[in-house]
Parts: sequence; structure tokens; C-alpha cells
Amino acid sequence: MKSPPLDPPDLEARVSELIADKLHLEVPSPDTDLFETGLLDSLRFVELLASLEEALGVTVSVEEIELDDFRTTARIAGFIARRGAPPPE
Amino acid sequence: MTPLLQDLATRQAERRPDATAVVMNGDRLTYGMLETLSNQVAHVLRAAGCERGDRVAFLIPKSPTAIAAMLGILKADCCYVPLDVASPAPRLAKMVESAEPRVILAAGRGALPLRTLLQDERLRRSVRVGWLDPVLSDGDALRPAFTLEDVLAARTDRPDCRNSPSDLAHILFTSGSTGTPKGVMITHENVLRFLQWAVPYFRIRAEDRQSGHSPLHFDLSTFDVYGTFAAGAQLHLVPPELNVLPHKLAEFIRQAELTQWFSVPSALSQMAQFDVVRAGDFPHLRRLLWCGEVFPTPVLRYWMARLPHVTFTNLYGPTEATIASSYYTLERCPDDDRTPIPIGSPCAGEELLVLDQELRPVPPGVAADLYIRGVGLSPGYWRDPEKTAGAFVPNPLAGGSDRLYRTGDLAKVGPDGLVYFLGRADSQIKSRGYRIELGEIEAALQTLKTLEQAVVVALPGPGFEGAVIGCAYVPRLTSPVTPLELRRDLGRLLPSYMLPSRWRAYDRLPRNANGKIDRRRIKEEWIADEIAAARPS
Repeated sequence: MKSPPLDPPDLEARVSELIADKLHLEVPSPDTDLFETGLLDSLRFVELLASLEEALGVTVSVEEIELDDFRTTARIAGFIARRGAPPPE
Repeated sequence: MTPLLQDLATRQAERRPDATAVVMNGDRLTYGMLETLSNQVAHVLRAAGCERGDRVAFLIPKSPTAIAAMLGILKADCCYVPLDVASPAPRLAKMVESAEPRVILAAGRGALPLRTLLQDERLRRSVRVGWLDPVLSDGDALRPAFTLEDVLAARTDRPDCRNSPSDLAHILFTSGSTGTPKGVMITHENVLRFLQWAVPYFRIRAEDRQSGHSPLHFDLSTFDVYGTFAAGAQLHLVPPELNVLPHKLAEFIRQAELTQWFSVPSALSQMAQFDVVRAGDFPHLRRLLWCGEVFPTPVLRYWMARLPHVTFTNLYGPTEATIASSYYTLERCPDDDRTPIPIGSPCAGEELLVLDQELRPVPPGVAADLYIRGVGLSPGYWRDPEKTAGAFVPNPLAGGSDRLYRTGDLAKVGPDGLVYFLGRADSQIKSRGYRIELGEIEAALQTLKTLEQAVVVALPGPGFEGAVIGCAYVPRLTSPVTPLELRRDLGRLLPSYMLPSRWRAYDRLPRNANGKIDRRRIKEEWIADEIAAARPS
């Protein structure tokens, strides 16, 4: 089951939810810098990528990642929106 | 004149002012620029009232500016206290309260915790803020006594220094078992004596391009910075966010054409886990050094097999003995995953002693407490004679003022005469390179109103990542609290790397025959349950 396309604000909420549920992390705001605050370390980052793939169908290859796309939940949502929703199956 | 740490950079500025000293994300300071900027910082600090022996804290993200600030503080005859911008304000408050800095220099994200710190009326009155960021928006609210603009307008000549090598260069705070971080005092001489051994041993030259991977509040960064300056080489500061992706770290080493890489083993383990190192990769790299925790032999073999052109050296030593006290350079790749890598032989001026409880040497092969003696030994913990006396003990073999530092590590001397690390004698752990006292986490947990009781245990982590922290807790009857809430509340008191990643609720914590909470049983049951859960049914 893949989720239907979401709008950016919904996506932001969805990403925050995923981070809370899967990574047990509460992010203070959509603009909190996840790297500078140390909220995301390498293990959690990999978990995050896996969760995004599982829940939203977004596959990201670690070789081509731009870290700036993952700096905040707002940017992660923006990145997913740009990637486009996955085709329905 | 006996040199001080800042003179290492000054000497390079006199000889080769246009040579690159520090680089990060396209920002670059030459030795000439570094000299001018640090002189200006020193003049402004003096104008702000700083006197010889004063402490100056800095809350500046890793950057060339932070390096210039460090040198400027030393040039004002002061001692710097590097603070982690990612640490929560209550933990920083304990350090600031203890260090009593005359000035706090801040920039970038440092504004966030600083704003919270300055809510304390007493601190606001006693400390002056220097805002060293070109962007003012955040700085304004902090009502700084001076800004980067003032620094850049200040005199550029070298200030007269009156400090001597036995004066303090910096105070580094490490985790404390009772909940209050301990400030390790380090003198100019402590660092200079290490460099006297390390720079010739590693043959560091002006052509070198060295990594600055460790955060600046870490002891290891002292070698990155001053080892580079002693040789007039280039320091390439590694942006902290690259740590989340091993591919990016590998790319950084390639693009910066680094000749030396120095980090904690966990960064190297992650790179191996993601298999980001190619055969013959990093053609410019000459040395790879690690310190701070055990580097698992299988991972070391991964690295050595791919990089036959690189020399691999294990460094060992706690902050209290300055950067490193012993070393072991591998002559060849171990052919077995089970081959233990020794912490080796003492660096020049140091001695490693394996002693029993009466401080008598034990025979080779016997495990006992590891002590360090020599030129790296810190004068002690800042304003804590009790802790200092507990860890730094008179040397019964020498008498006089000769001291030994009790590391809390267990070790043995092997048949080869080399020293082997065997583990810890207490509840200090290393997690991803961070030195953590479990007691500090428990002390923070005790302040949470949602908990009746809680203890933390170190659990084996996945792969070669080292320990992960597990918290066994009893919630208060009235408040069904979730791990998410606990993590959030604890995150306001402790930095991210100290937060437990596993949680287990209990109705009652198991106790041993003496009525004490049985941490060992909690840990063993937890590990057993995890093994059972991982087994396919």
C-alpha cells in the first residue's frame, strides 16, 4: 500500500510523524536543523531513509544525496514533493 | 623566549603569510590572515576587561573563525573553554558556572543556547558577550559588548604575552559520573610536549593537508589544530553534517586530497559498513590515525586491505593525559579478525604502568589498572581538588611531586612488551567516540517528574558501532509516559549522543541481595531478550 500524493504542509506533518514514530525523535519545528542539533546521526539517518522508502515510497540512493535536502523536516518534505509522488500500483 | 601554542601559528605567519592555514566549506584563512584576526581578537578581549588567567568560553560552530578565536584568546593570556553549540543550555550552564568566563564569544547557532544561558540574571551581569558572526540578527538580542565589526576594526599588531608554558591553554569539559561535567585543565606545555613527539614521529610537513574531524570541544582536535600549525600545513575542517553519510566523508577525503585523517574509530567503522572505500582510494593519504575507542580488527583489515599506501596508527590516551599517551603503528595488515590491536608503547615523555591496588607493578599478562605518568598529565580538574586527588595520585615509586593518573581502564602488558587495553573498571562508556559517564545520564533522569526510578545500562550495539544506551525505568503511577516523551524531556538536559536509544518500562526494578538495583541483571536479561527476539521463529 502506497500513500496517495500529499500537499507540502501535509507532507511536512507526515515526515514529522515518521520521525517521531520510527526514530523516537521530536523535532521542535519544521525548520530545526537536524544535523547541527545532532538530532540525526548516521544510524538514525539511515533509519530515516528506510522509513521514507517504506512509508512514502521514496527511494533515495545514498551516492547521490544532497545533505541540504535533509537538513530540516520542511526541506525533506520539499524534496519528496519535487521527486513527485510514486506511481500508484 | 619559550614558545606558547599561539607562537606555532605566528612563526608560520612570519615565514609564509600567504600559505593556507585553515579551510572549511570554501572559507579559507592564510597564516597571515589568521595572525591578524587572532591579534585583533586578543586586543578586543583585553579592551573588554580580560586579564591574564581569565577564562574565555566560545560557543562558535566549527569554522576558521573558531580557530582564530582560540588563538586570539591565548594571545590575550587567557584560557579558552570550548562549548558544544549542539549541547542543551542546562548542561552548558553547569560548565559556564564552573569556568566563570569573563567573556563568551559566540556565532551562528551558538546564539540559541547563549540566549537561554543569559536568562540567568547573575551570569548576564558577570559575563560579556562577543558576537563573532557577520550576521547580526540573532546577535542583537544578546546585546553583545562587541561584534565582529569591532574585531575587524581593532589593532592588528601582536599583543605582548606574559603567559608561560605552565599556564592553562584550555579547559575541556567531559562527562562526570555525578551529573556535573568535569573540567580538565590543559597547559600550553602539555600540548607542546605531545607535539614534540608527534610532529617528527608522523613526519608532518608544510605540504600536508590534515583533517579536522573531531569537534573543537574534543581533546583530539588539539592535535589537528596545533599539529598542523607546528608544521605550517593545512587544516581541513570537516563539516559535522558529513558524519551522517559515510559516502560524504569519503568524498571529502578525496576532494580535499587529505594526507592525514584522524578520527574516532566509529567514523571509520561506518565508512567500512557502507563500503565506501575503493581499492587504492585516497591516493594522497599517507597516515590514518584513530583514538578514543577500540578499532575493531575486522574493520581495520577492511581499511588496510584497500589502502596499502597508508600508514595506520592507533593512539591511546584520555583527555587528562593530553591527546594521546601511547601509540601503535601497524607494520602489516593483521591476517586474523581476532588479532587484538595493542595500545602499544608510550609516546616520548610518557609512561604506561599496569599496577595493582597497592600501586605495585603486576607481572606481564596480568590484567590490572592502567596508570599514566609523564609530560601530558593535566594539573587536574578545574576547581575540584577532591576529584583531582582521587584521579591524580602521588607516585610511590618516585616520590616528590611526581604523579600518576588513574585512567579507570584495565590493561595488561603482552609478551611483546606492548600494552593491551582490556576494558573499563567503572561505568564510563564510549559511544560513537563520545566518552560518557552513565551516572551523568542517571542524574538527569532523576530530575524527570514523570519517572519513579530509572537506571541506564550499556548494551552491545549493532555492527561495530560500540555501545548503545538502554534505559530501564519505572513510570510514576499517575503518568503513563512514553519513550518519545522521555527522550524529549531528557533531550532538554543532555546532548543527543547521551540520550538512551532503547527503553524498557518496569513495574519494579530488580534488586540484588544488598537491596541495590541490579544493573547487571537488567543488562543480561535485556541482551538475552534481544537475542531471542532476533532469532527467526
